[in-house]
Amino acid sequence: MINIYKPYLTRIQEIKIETPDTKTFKLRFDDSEVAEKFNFRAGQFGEYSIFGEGESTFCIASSPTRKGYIECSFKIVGKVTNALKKLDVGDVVGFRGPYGNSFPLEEMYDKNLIFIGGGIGLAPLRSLIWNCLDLREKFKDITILYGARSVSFLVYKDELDEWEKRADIKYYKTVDPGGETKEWNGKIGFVPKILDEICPKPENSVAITCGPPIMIKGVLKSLEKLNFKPEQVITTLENRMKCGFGKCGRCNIGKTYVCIDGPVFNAAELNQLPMDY
Amino acid sequence: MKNFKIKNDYKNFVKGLLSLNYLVIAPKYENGILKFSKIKNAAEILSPSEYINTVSSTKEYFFPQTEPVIKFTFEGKEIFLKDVEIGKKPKVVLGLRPCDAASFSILDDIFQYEYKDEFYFTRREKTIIIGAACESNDESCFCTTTGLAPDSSQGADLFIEKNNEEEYFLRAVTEKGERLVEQLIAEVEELEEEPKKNPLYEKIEKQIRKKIDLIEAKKWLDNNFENEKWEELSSQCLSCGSCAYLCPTCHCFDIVDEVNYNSGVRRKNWDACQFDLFTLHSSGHNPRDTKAKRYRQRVMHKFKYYADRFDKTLCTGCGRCIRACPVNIDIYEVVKEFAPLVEQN
Amino acid sequence: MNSISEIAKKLLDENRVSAVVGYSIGSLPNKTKTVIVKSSQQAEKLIFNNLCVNNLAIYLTKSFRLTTQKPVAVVMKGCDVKSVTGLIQEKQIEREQVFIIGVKCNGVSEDGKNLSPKCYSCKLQTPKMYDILVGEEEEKNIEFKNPFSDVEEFEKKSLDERWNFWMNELEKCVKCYACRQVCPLCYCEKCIVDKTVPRWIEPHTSKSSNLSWHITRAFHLAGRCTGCGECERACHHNIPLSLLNKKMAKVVYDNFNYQAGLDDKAKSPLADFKFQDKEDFIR
Repeated sequence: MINIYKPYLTRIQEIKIETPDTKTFKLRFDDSEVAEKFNFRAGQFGEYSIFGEGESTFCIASSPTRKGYIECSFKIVGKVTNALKKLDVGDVVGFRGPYGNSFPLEEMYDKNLIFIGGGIGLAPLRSLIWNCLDLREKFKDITILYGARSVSFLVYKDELDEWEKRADIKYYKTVDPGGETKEWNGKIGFVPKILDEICPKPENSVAITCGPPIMIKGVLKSLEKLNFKPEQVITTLENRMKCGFGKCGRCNIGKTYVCIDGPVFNAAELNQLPMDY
Repeated sequence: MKNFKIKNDYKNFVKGLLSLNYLVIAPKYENGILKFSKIKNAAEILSPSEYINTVSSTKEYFFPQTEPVIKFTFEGKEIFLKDVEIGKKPKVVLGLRPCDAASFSILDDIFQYEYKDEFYFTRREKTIIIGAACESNDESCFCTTTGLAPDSSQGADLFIEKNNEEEYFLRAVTEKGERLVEQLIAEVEELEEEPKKNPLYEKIEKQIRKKIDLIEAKKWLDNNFENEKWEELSSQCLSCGSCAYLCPTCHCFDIVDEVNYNSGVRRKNWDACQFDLFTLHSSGHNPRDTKAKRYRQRVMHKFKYYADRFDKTLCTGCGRCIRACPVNIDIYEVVKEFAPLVEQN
Repeated sequence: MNSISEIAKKLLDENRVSAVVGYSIGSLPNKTKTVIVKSSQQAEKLIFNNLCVNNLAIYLTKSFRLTTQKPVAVVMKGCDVKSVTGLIQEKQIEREQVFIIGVKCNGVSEDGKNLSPKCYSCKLQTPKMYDILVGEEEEKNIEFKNPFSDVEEFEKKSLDERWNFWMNELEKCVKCYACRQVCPLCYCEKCIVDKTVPRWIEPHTSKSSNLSWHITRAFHLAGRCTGCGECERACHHNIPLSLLNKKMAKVVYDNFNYQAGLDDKAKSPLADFKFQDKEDFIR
């Protein structure tokens, strides 16, 4: 019997403290055969579990081009994430996945990419960003705009520095007003406002955004003003999920199961969904 | 497909079934309520004329209220997973009304969509469903609206009916059902001719609440996600799970871990869309934070979303939610608010 | 005599209440349906008859965010008013927030045939508290029963018999939480059974976890449950929850000479300490 509820066992190889409430785990599959065969696409997610506490849904935050491990970043909010934060290197984490659709990578070839992220919403974008950077010649200009409510809440700080230094990326960082420090050399202002300032051109471009709902709403408006067509705007939805494979009925928005039909949607598809998310 | 006459009485037929070493599940009074339970001897069996329907549906024998999906043990920091065994003994669920028997052809779609839930399907494969035509109805029944009738055999492997001489006979609906009857030669005998319909079933069909046009209902739902009616229709709802838990087609669940010192189990537990915690995100955001939104989800899922996805209605008209609702929310009346009755000649 | 719908119409027309919660004709012959009437045109729907068994006090905590500016009117029987008293006692609502349309009740029925069990020991045909009263009291032609008679009968059984009885009954529970949702005094914002850190009660159904749920609920209702019987009525698996709640009520009555829902100024014994309180449980 194939048990779709049975997780793989993974082991924590590395722990990074991203912000006061966010951690990243680097996980390696215990079973070498699984480690070898495991494949996913940027944008997909999984059900991560601590045995005895339960399962929690996060995207796979590492790039599919980096083989042999997966990474997840999680904000400490609920029962499972509070238990996850207590784990050490070498501890076991259950993983089911990959689930859901993914970013349409091939359709982005030869296009300008604009990544717009906020807070922990950078996690799914990060998977795609590294995926694209590892295949850099396939894409035209790459722009990254990333913001958080304050400096200490920026995630993946080392990587942000790396992106900032790279000549083949236009990188902008911002924090909400009041969230800056004395040393802050980035912008100050909400992400949609900075986006207006950057004023990316819609021609031959795709914008990919993820962040808190309020930011996404603002970003979608800004992009519309900048004449991006809904088909050129891609986002990834976060709904409460349990099973991850279209059974448990929690993530439905109309007839759409976010876990199977999503989590990646373009704005045109999003506009078709009833306001139930 | 063949038809078989039950030679002696119904109890003898059940005796035959029990002797074949099947686990027989049938309606039985237990602690004051009628429910599908294990039958130990044929004397306990109720004939199809002796009940209308059970309090809860038969879905629990395929999709149990609580079901371990994986077991685990801890040894220091190591974790060992153990698969869960599902009972091997073949089962017969006997005496389901058409509204329950039909539920499986509806649930099969969701449980195999993209990912196959083998917990459900292992039970499905090991179980033979013997439906029984309705010999009475009550004010809550509305199966005709969902395309069923007191004598529809949809979803059953075998179906028990009365011919016009008031004798029970078995209609083989699937090969699985036919193979079972062939093992019961002492109790049944093949009928050469198609038995004559008992007029009772047509009479009951006429007594049942009039048929609502679900195509029109869906058209209305297609265009009325936003409508103040939802507020009005759900205002008295108390957000309990009665309707969902008794429903033969509701299938939402939760996944929860439980631990006992050095071992534990991950379970699938029934859940219900009327509970406010159902969609609550850990961030505090709740997409369905009001009764109106939750009730809309229930009606939409049953009569629109499931139809959009699988071309089926997620309702069989069994009426259990109507009987059980402590504040008399009546899904038939609700749908009738926005869809006409089908004209009958 | 003013009918309920006339009263409701007047209250709404004069803008004295924001809504009237009452009963209307149900969809099944033996049921009535709750309606929340917000405009006087709809007030005609309101009725009262012997099928009006529901306790509408539930809507005071679960449907309305009550304000003192404009009260909500509720149609209430004598037994239902006890729940309002409890809610006032526990500072969940204020008296001024509720306009009680009291009805003189001659007994109600859950199935249209038999008198509801709670009616046999009811002495409140006329509510103790109301803003306006309707109906006529009729001679109830029934034998009055001591409210604790079934508990006393049950207590005569052996421990094993009682244990087995409850295990069999509670095994039926499907955890739909209709008992909790229908209870006017189950108003906790987060019920203990929904708490996950730590998890007090396992969410699955089994004899032991069902027992913990119902025992915990009964304990939480000790000295508070007014015996409206809604939990038992809402239970489609016919678990005799009233027996459990009445046992708790009896313990409270025997020890503190207190009955819930009769005095909105009284302090609930489990929320109060008196020097003369017995301490014989400390050994």
